[in-house]
Amino acid sequence: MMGQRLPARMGTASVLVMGLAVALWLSGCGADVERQQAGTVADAFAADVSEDPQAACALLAPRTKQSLEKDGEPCARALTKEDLPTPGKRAGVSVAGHSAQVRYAEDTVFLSLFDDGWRVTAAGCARTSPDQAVPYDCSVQAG
Amino acid sequence: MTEHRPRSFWRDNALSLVFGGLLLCALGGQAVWGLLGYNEAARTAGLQEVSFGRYVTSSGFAVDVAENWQSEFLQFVLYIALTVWLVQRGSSESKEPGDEGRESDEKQLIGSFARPDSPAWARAGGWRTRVYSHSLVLVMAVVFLASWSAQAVAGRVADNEERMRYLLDPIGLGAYLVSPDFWGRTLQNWQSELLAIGTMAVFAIYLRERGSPESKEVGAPHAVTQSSD
Repeated sequence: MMGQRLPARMGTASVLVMGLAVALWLSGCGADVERQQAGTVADAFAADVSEDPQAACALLAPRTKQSLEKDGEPCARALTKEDLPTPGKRAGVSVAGHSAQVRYAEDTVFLSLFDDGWRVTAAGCARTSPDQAVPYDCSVQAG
Repeated sequence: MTEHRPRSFWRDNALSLVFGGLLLCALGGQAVWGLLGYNEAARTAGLQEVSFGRYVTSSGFAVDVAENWQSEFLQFVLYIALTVWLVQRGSSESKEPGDEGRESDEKQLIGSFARPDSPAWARAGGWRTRVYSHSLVLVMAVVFLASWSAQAVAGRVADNEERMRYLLDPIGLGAYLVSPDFWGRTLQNWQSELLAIGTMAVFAIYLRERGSPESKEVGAPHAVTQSSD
């Protein structure tokens, strides 16, 4: 009797393990896609800052764009005045939920996911303290 | 007086069915209020609000569920294992003082004392009986470790999402396992579970609930440890 029951139990367990493995694999694939998309937006922003500031402004998160325009100056002009560094070679992309960070040799950019895609929340960011609890200091950011 | 109404599936399984229903209600409520909280924080930061479907599949929701589940199963692991060896005189949650330990084969209905209707692995003997003899703690421990692992994995993602929102570097799993967020979540849950067991063990000495198997009989003396004797 036990021998007849074992295959059914092992079959159920196998299905559950396989289902978990597939779910984990899919979530990894999803994370790769998100990293690629965040990196693409950050790269486009970096290129547009000097070549097409208007297009760069379209890639900013709404509140970040509002911060640039808070003195009544158009976003494109204000962005050009920030004199953001040429970022250099991309070093890495981190994505967690709706937040992302793209690290370059000379810059770090933070992004957030909106309904119409990733948008830059902060750019021209540099560490000012070795303390990991101290935020980056960014030339362009909300607030 | 014993009722003689016919038994049904619903009556015979009422305890698990009611608790299963309450679990679903509580999870649903947690999802709704969690979504409201997440979206409130998103609006404060000027970021995108999310849908209910997106929230319940997020790491934020997963860690909030997993941190509670792991502590519940840890509670059961400790409670089931430690009550083999530790007693509380007068409590309905304890064995009689003097009965500490694994007890005899006769009392445990294994070996030559197994009944025809004993579970198959209890009758089988050998390693099967040894494993089955600890199956309750083993399964609880596996579920505890799995849900604690889920808390760690999901918690790191949720913590990193918030860290990057506030212009901080994300951290790896190793760093997260020694972070205030991981241990804060873990220990705030552990303390409440351990409090619950401890108070139940003591309250059950002096307090009663008529009709509940978790309580001694109303008229049972405080010094009596097991009312079934």
